[in-house]
Amino acid sequence: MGIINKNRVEGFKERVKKIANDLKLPEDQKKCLLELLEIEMKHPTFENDFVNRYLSIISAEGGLDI
Amino acid sequence: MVNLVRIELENFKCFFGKKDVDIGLSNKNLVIFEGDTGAGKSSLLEAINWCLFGKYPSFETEKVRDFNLFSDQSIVDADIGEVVTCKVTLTFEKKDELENERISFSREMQVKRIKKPSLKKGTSYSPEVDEFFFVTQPGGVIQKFSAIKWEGYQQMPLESNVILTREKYFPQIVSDYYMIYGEKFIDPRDPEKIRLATERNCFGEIFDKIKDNLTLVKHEIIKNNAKKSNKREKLNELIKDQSSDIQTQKVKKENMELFKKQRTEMEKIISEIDKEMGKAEGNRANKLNSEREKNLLRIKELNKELKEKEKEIFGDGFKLLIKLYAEEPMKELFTELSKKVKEGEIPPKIKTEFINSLLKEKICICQRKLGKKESDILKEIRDENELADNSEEFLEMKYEINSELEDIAPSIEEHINKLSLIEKIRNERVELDERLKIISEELSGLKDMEKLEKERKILDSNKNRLDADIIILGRELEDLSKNIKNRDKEINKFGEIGSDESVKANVFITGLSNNIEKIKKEVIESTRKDIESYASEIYKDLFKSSTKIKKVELDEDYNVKVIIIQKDGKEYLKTKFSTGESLVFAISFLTALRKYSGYQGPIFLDSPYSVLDPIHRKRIALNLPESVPGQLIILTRADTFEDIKLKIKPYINKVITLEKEREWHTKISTSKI
Repeated sequence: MGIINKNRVEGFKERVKKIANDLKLPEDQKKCLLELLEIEMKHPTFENDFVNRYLSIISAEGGLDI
Repeated sequence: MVNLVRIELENFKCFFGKKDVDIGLSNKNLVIFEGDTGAGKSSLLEAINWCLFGKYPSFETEKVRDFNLFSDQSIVDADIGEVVTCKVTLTFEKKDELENERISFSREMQVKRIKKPSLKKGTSYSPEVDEFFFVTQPGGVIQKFSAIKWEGYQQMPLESNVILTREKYFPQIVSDYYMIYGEKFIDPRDPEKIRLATERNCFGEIFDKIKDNLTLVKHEIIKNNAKKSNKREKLNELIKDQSSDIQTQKVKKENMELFKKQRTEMEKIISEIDKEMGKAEGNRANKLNSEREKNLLRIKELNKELKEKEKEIFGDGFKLLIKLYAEEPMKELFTELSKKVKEGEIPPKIKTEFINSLLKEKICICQRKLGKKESDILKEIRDENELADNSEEFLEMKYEINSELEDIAPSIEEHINKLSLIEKIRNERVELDERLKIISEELSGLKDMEKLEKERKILDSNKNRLDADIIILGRELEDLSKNIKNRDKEINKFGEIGSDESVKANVFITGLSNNIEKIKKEVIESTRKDIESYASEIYKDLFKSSTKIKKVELDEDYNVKVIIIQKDGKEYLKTKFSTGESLVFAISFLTALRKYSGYQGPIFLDSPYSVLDPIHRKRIALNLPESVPGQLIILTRADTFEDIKLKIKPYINKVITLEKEREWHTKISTSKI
């Protein structure tokens, strides 16, 4: 459990997805943002442990080899 | 939903010894703590707040505050060397059929008696903080905060340290927004607090965190890909400065928020002090003091006047007396008196009083004589002396009396007037003296007011200092933000060199960061609208059928307005709220906030019914459990709850009674309704 339950995370992601669509956000940026939101809501990153997690999401969703 | 299922208290304030409250899990979402004033309802809420957040509202110094959390009885009973524990443990359980998770948070502190009680003669014993020693925990702190987590019956390790775990379940902000202390609820007249609550509770901060992290990741990529070594050095320097500035900015932002929060707290305390003092009370003290000054001045004037008049009347009286008693012994008596006064043997006051009394006596006789017809007086004298009407003696006497009366009559009349004037002055003085006595008594009762005034002045000056700090910090933050922005441009130039992938990554992250800002704005805006609409529904629901409310509006600046439809069909925009209406708004807003923030824990309401009239109390109490989903813990006075208890029976999980056994001893008993 946790303060933010699974349904809320999904619900919130849906809301962001809709706004991202309305704002015509590029698909890769949208996917990346949703992934990052999920991480921060379910398993928040703390000092120093975010770089690799962020890099892997940006590489995967942004289609980049970094 | 995360429900509070157990409260364990040990020597916390009025809860002497160990007390356990077993609430348990239930489908019914209402838990009622009922008790009379002073039974310990607010202390229980303080215990919850202290356990989770280490906070408790008080004006005292930290050490005294900590000490005051111990039950008086436990401290009084402690022998030298004995350790007393003050502890609160809260157990929360997730209400879910699939998962069974439980977490307990505990906070405790201990004191050891090092000195004998200081018993002053004639006074009852009151424990002093310096008679005790606070037992310190690892890290030099006096409070130990811990947590235990279970899944099923198995104890699980905590995911991170205890404060971060607490933050995950109960963010610090929860204490501000979900634990409503009496009338200190969300105020519809405080848009800043409503904005903060909306934005912070609805993930606004997550977007900021992601943006900050992305900037740091971008720097990492750029750093790894900068080709030329001299440039790399420069870049490293820039990134180092940038990261330190970002860190400083974060700290300053936190400080700014803390300052603002402190400021709000101070304003709250100031307004409480003002409330306590009551403006009217303050005015009363001023009014009394000015009346006192005025009276003292008047008394001074009267004393002066009295002295003059007495002097005057004494001089005249002396002459008059000589006239009336023109006999040698009397003259001798006055001469003797004057001599003794001059020599200091007799105080002048005695002489005045003596003469005045003689004078009064003689004046009374003359007054009586003057009040009668001449013939009556003569008859009286003739009868007294048994004289014949036409006797020579009587005729002589008649002549003497007539001439005597003619002689002294004007002086006597004048004298009588003066005496009555003196009497009037004296009476006025006595009245003023009495009034002064009353004023002094009332003023001594208002002495506490002076203490409060003093406290208020200190708070005011602290608030002004804080205001200045906020302004300085605001400027520093502005400069910092400019620096960061300019440096970012420089760093981005480095991002344009290096491998294609790194350049692409730089562009990607920059674009994403910009879009995150736009999305954050949209999310907050749509959340504001959602909260507005949900809160509006609940507000209408809670006020069901009492007033025709069209909606509650939360405008872009978070100002609250209620649109009411009047009897003639016209709409009326309400922006002023009574205490009861503010409470209903607070409940509606919090419920909406909880829905959109994902907060799963209980909402605490302290004495919500006492600010409502009986009709609204009944209506709101009946609507509350249906309108507000999730656990709702209500602390209420038994008398304001009695009439609604049976009607909301289907929603009540437990009624817990707090009873004051004796001073600072609360008995807790649980019952199912």
